[in-house]
Amino acid sequence: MSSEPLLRVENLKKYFPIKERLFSKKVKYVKAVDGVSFTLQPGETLALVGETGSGKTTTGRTILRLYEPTGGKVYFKGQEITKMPMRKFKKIRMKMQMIYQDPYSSLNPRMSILNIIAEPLREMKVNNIEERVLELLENVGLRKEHMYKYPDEISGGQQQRVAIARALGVNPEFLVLDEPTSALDVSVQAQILNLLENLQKERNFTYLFISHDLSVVRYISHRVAIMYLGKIMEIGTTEQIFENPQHPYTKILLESIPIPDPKEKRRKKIVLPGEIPSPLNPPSGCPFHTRCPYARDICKEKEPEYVEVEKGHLVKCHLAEVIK
Amino acid sequence: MKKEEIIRVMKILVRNKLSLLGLIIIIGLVITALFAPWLAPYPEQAKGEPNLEEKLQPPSSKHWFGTDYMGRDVLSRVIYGARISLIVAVAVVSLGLLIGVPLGLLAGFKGGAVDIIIMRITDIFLSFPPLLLALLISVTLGRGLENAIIALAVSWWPWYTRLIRGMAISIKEKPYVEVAKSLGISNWKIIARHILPNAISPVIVQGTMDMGSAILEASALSFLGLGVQPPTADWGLMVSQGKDYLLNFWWYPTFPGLAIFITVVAFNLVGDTLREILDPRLRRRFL
Repeated sequence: MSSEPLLRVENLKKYFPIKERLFSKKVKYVKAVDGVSFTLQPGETLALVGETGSGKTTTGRTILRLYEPTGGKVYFKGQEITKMPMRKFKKIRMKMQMIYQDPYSSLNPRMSILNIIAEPLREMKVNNIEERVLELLENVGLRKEHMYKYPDEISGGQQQRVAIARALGVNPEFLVLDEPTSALDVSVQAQILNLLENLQKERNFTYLFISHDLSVVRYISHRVAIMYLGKIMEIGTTEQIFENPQHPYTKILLESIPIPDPKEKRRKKIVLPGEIPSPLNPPSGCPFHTRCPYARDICKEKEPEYVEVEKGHLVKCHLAEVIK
Repeated sequence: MKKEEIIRVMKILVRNKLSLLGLIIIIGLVITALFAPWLAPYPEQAKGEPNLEEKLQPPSSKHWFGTDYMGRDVLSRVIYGARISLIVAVAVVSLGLLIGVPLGLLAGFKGGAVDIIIMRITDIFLSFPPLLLALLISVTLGRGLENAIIALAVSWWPWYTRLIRGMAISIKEKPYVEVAKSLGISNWKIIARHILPNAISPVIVQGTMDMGSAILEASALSFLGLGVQPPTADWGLMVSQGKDYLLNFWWYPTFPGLAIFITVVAFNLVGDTLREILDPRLRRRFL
């Protein structure tokens, strides 16, 4: 892989203001994304993994500036895009597309598949629109007969394929995949994942794959970042994270993957107590200390720094070296 | 709207007995209005020609609905009155939509200051009782059908603005609108292609129901001496003139009153069923 990253995210923050009462001036913030940093090489897939409310979707959306970031910087091909005027950024954003969790709601129910895929092509003054649409449909494994249908006349998997075809039309380089398979049946999930993988090989796409499904993540991603309360707790290659997890949270998440083997001896499972704390009142120190089985006094007081346990494997835990 | 969808909606409207009744009445009304000169037994009297020898005759084979204080055939005048009523209904609702829908889309899509300004303006209009406002404008503009229509439309549009603004706000958060933005589609095209077609259903329903109300309110204006002027045949005006004769010559105000009643009910029947079809939460019942 080349050394120039396609995407570099530095200390990205997104706080949502919440007004307490109608006329009170005190504003509280939900720190949905709180200092996230990572880089993405061209052709690479980074998975963002976390529970509901961990800020993984918000991270993806803030990178595309569907939410304006509160702080931090994002570089796309070496160019800073966070402070860029929207008019200029719109051109660059064509190279960055998003695939949504619910394919149906990402397609206008009143437009035919042809029009849905053709809309951006018409903006780009492409000739022979129908031919191009057909080509795109074939790229994602659909046929001509789907062209004149409406979104509610095709299956969820086909809807997701249409959404992917539409994104392909503008020749993107970077795709944010926001749980692209979690609304689909398991058999269809695999088809869509294979499609995404093949497209990546053919066109050297870079993916930010947002998911909470660890088995899917292990299958598709090159690197994995584990998020908790708006922060990355551990990041490393897929192998590092799955074979040698360092952070207690990662370990607990991995142990929660069900193994389809009745002979597998009953592991002692550590079940996470309670819910993810409210990002409105995040815990002091390490955000995970309220649920961490290994928490010590220092965890309540001081927020841990990242420790590099191996090359490219960073852990945000005081006890990373201690727990083994 | 898709062709198949329109056909589907029409099928359901016809299958439902009440809305079928409403549809038949409305279609009958349109036919009556279009062919009034051929349907009315005394078209000249409908246009105002007096016939003083036969004034205030009870219903008979010669004058099915009786005659008024100038001896004019009430049936002919009711038939001609359908024209005015339909013009009023269509004109008021379409003018209201023409003003209300673009403003509502703009307010909902843009948000912020644009939204606040537009919505405060609608609040000003909505703070008056609608008929009072229409009266006020009507008095200011002067009598006459056109002025009554303008007066009603001006008091009407804010309802459409609010309705479509709410829809626009919820639809602009949909992923497909976000995708359109990230694909570089301009705001105007997003509003026209993505927001409007998905936001219009409840407005169609409201508009259908409002046709009835517009006729009712225009009749009220005519009744109060604004709006349509004699000798034009108008239902509201006929009720107004006939009210003094109600006790001794019941047919005079009763038939035009019934015409208003039946028309308003017909529009409401159709509107009600349309709402049940187009409201996604109620949709299942028909699919």
